[in-house]
This record gives sequence, structure tokens and C-alpha cells, in this order.
Amino acid sequence: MVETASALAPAAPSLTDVALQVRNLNFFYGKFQGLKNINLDIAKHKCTAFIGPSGCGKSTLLRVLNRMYDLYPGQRAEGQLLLNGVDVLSPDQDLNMLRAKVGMVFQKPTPFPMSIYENIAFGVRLYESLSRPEMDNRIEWALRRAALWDEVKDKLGKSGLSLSGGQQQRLCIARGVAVKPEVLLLDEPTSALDPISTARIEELVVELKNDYTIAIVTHNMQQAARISDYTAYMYLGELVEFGETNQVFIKPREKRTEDYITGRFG
Amino acid sequence: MPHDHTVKAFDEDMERVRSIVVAMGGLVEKQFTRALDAVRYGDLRLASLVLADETMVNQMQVQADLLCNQVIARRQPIAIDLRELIGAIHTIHDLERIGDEAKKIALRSKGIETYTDRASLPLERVATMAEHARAMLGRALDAMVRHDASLAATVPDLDDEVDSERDALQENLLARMGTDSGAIAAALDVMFVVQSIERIGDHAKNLAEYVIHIVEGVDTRHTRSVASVAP
Repeated sequence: MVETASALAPAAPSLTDVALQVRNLNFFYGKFQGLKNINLDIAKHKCTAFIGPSGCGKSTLLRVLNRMYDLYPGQRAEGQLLLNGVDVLSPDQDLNMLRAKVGMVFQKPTPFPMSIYENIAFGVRLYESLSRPEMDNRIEWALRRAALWDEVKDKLGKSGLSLSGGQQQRLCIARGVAVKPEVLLLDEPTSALDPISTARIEELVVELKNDYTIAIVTHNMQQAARISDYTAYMYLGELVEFGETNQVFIKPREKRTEDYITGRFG
Repeated sequence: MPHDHTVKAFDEDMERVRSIVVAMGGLVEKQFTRALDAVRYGDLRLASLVLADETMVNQMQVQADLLCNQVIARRQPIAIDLRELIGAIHTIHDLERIGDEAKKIALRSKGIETYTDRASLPLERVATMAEHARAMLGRALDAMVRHDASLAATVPDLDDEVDSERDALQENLLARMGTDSGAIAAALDVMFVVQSIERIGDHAKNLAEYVIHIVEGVDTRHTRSVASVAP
């Protein structure tokens, strides 16, 4: 039986509905250990924010959650990562299926050099065989979910690269939701965007978490406070504190957390 | 107190807020003392000084509120900084109310001074009650300056003393009014003074509760559960 994270992590909240369970996770870039004995539960249909100074391991952790590190030799993870009770760090895990269930959006918008339509259809075709009308419906659905449909419905044949930065990022989110994932990983999704685009993405995240589990890495403390339900503070590869966002940002348990979030760090 | 922010201007902003709150606290404490002395010793000059200071107190309230708004907009404070700023906003409001109550006491002192049988009024008992309220205010202000939750936790206990002294004085004054119609006006003046002292005690208790919230992150308002932070 898997122990609950509350028994292992630094005073983690007791969660009743969990999408991902991280157990005794250690991660290595060659000989360098990037993550040290991470234990936490990521709540289902909630937004969990990961904060911490550069190099703390938050993006590393995010990339373990859908095994992006597998693309790079010399990087390895030890421990367990349970998605619906199944350890996805197992060598038997189908990585394509994992990355359909656990989608990722990066800091820099990465639309494919294809039309808006094809940007979304490309991923769907990897996993499903849909007729043209079905694909049309799926693409409209995904673009509506990403709050982009009204802006692009008359130009689906245009290149995804012709969109503004904020629109490109929403296109990437649409691409992610189109394959019906369970989890969405967002790695500083708004750090390259203007304030209005940022606000739209944040609004989108709040809507999306009704249907998806969201994990977001952000350097923007106020963003984490605004949109997340749970916050994890990391430092030098360790999980220092994990709790409900309201508690972490009003009265953090750890002085290290308080020093960081109040700008007294360093 | 936590150590410095990386952005020094944030520290300077917080220090400005603390300075104005401390200055306002000192001013209303002085108003209260002067108003009580005006009642006790019949020194109407002191009452005039209290009234004159009211303008300054009101200006400080406006200035302090504006400053707090600016800091919140500029710095988006969280955790202890947020608690301290919210505490400062609440404190400013209570300090202004204390100043108002001190003004009311000063205004009543004139009626008390002109009463022909002034010596028969229970002014020494009022002074005893006032000392407790003044101690509450002094401790709350000290606790605020030092971020001393343990000291703040001792303030609510004095409130019980103030309340029971108020009850006793009201009973005494009502009895007096019932038997001596000539004393009604002066007795009512004293009754209002007693009421204002009791209100100042309540405001001082509020200040103490804000300090506990700032330091410990625990909201003790509307509870008597301060034992957890008492020494």
C-alpha cells in the first residue's frame, strides 16, 4: 500500500482526490542530483503551483511528471510516480500514451510551423482515428476550451506562427487539451507574455481546472497566489513546504518559505 | 521582526507606515491622558489642547491610510508583510476612534468642572478605571512597536477590570440621579466619560489582537483564546 504523502512530505495537506502521487523521487543529471527525496500528492482538478529560486528543481520535477527527461541521455529518475495508481516511471510505460494523458505547455509558445487547424489535428491523429467532421468538432472544442475559437475561427488555415504571443500560447493549450489529457503541466506559461495576455491565460487556467489537473511552475509569486489551490516551495532540489495556497501565502510554516515569498531571500 | 527585504525600498515603505502609526499612537495616548486630567483636576486648558490635537489625528489617519494603499499597490505584500499592513490599517482606524473618545471626554470635562458639588462626584473612581484603560493602551502600543505577542496577550485581561468598574460606576451614578435631580446633568457627563473610557479599553484590546495576528498569524478577535500565545 502506498503511504500518503502527508506521512512523508513536509506537512503536506491531506488530499482526498489525488491525480498524481510522487513518492521518494530522486532525479539525476548525470552525477548531479537535481531532486532529493520528493514526496507529494497533486490534487485532482486543482491547480498546484511550484515556486522557488532558479535551479531549485521545480522545472525538473515538472519534466519528470511526463517523463520529458527521457528525451535526454544521462538523465534518470528513481522512485515512484503514480498516475491512477500506475507507476509511470516503470520501463514498461508507453511514453506516448503518458504524454497524451499528461500534456505540457512551455514558457516560450511552441506552435508547429503548420496551420492553426493542423497544429491541433496533428496531436489528435497520433492517438485517435477521427473522421473529418469529428476532427473539425474536436478542433473547435479544443479552441473554445482555450478561449481562442472566436479569434481564429475564420482563419484556421492560417499559420499558427501568424498569431500573437498570447494567442500562440492559447493555441498550445488547445493543442494540449485536444487529446483529452488528465493533467496539464504549465512551465512558466506567461513569463513571455504581456499583462493582458497573462490575465487571459490565468483566467483560462482557473476554468480548465474544473476538468483537468493543473501543475504550474511560475516565478511570479502573485500569479501562484492568484490561481493555485496548492503551492509547493522548493529549494536546492528539496521540497521545503507544501500546503494550501491561502496558508502558504498568509502564514507559511517554514521560515525559509516566508523569506522567499516576501523577498527576503538571499 | 523579520530581516530586511532584498528590495530596500520595501523596507523603507514599511518603516514609514510603522513611523506614522507609532506617531499617531503617541498622539492619541497624550490626548487620552490630557482629557482624563482635565476631568480629574478641572484643568480646562488641557481639554482645549485635546480638541486642538484632533485635527492632527484626523490628518494622520488620512495620510496613513493613503500610505498603506500605496504600499499594497506597489509591493503586493504577502505573509507577514501583508499581516502587518492589514494590522496597520485596522490600528489606524482604532487610534482615530480613541482620539474621538478622548475628545468626547474633554468636552464633558467642562460640564463637570462647572458643577457646584463637584467634590461629590466619583471622579477618583473614574480615575482608577481610567488608569486600567491607559495601561491597556500603553501595553498595546508597546506590543505593537516591539511586535511582542506575549505582551499583547495580557491586554484583554485588563478589559474585564475596566468593564466591571464601568458597571459599578454606572450603578452609582444612576442611583445618584435617582435621588438628586440637581446632579443629573453632571452625573450624565460623568456617565459619558465612563462610557468613553470603556470604549477606549475596547479599542486597546483590538490593537492587542492585531499585534497577535501580525506576529503569530492567529486571529483572536471575538475569542478569549489568547492563552496559546501568552507566556
